[in-house]
Amino acid sequence: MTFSRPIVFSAVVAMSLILVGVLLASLNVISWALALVGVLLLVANLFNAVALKPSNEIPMVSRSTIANSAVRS
Amino acid sequence: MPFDVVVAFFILGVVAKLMRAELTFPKGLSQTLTLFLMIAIGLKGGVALADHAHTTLITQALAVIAFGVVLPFIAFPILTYFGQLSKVDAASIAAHYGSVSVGTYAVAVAVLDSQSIAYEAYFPLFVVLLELPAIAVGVFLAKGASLGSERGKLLHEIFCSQGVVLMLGGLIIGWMWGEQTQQIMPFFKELFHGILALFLLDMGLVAASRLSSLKSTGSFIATFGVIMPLIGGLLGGLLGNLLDLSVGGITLLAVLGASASYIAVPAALRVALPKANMSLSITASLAVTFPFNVLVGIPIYISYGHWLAILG
Repeated sequence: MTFSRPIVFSAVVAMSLILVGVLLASLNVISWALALVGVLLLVANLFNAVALKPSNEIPMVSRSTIANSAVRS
Repeated sequence: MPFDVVVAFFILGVVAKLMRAELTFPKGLSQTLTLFLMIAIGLKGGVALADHAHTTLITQALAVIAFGVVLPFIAFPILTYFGQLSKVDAASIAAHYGSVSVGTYAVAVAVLDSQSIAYEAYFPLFVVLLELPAIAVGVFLAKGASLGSERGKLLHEIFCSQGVVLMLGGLIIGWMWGEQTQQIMPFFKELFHGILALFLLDMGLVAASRLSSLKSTGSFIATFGVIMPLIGGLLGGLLGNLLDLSVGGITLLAVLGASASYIAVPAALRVALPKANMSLSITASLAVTFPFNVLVGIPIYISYGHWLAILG
């Protein structure tokens, strides 16, 4: 399963923010906010990834083409 | 409280919009609040400039201009490679992030004042200097050196934008008239925090109304709107430390590096890059970066400033 580059980039950044936020949490309270921002970005990215669909899934047009060719044969 | 009192008004604006409360600012009032903040910041900086003008200021100013040139060159490859955006859209967003937000700067100053953290009072000069280079770099990234007949129009938009005219004008008036500005300073100084609270209430409404645009722009724009301020803030803080600024100064340079323009740059780029999708850049700077900096970024940059100052 492959995802587009913007999706992968967003996921990596979001997870890095969560990691940095949690690691720095003992030093600074605001780090929790950074981790929360990371979680929000990750959730937004998940919605976006679902909306765009991963590239190995067969698009609807291809499905109908396959179905038509199966009927013809 | 976790937030400064003026920041609480920003949250109120966001909540009011999300609750669909009947709350709108007349367009003229929003404009007036922005004008007030720009003149107040410029005047204050001009008076400080008259008292603290020294030769190292030239070095600092040149370094700040170079910083403004470098930032779009960092943003552009992120936008084209990771975001897979077109050259024109990437250049437009990069220009927004190379420039500065006067609103974010005003909030940072208010927070530093409330925490009694000292900073170089001539900083408004750096705000004006950082407004300009990013626009030129953005246009260069999109079009190369060729501008054709739009050159005159673009130069007019850059140098006659309200931010440059009012802040530079305020700086010059404050610098030249020095002590005499005390006659008008009660108006601009005493009302500053109150006006900033109203400005942030309005910005909260605007930012919340832009949130729905994020659905169409995708999660990359939201991610970029968070990661680019952190990169700019990191570099701004390092530059501030290199220039031997105070804790407040390091923080403010980090804030300037982290902020993104939403007034001057859109106006200039509408002329220079008419094909750029302005919705992308405005959504990123207004709906993501401004709230991020006001709510999360500024406290982080203050801690970062303290940390850099301790390291020396």
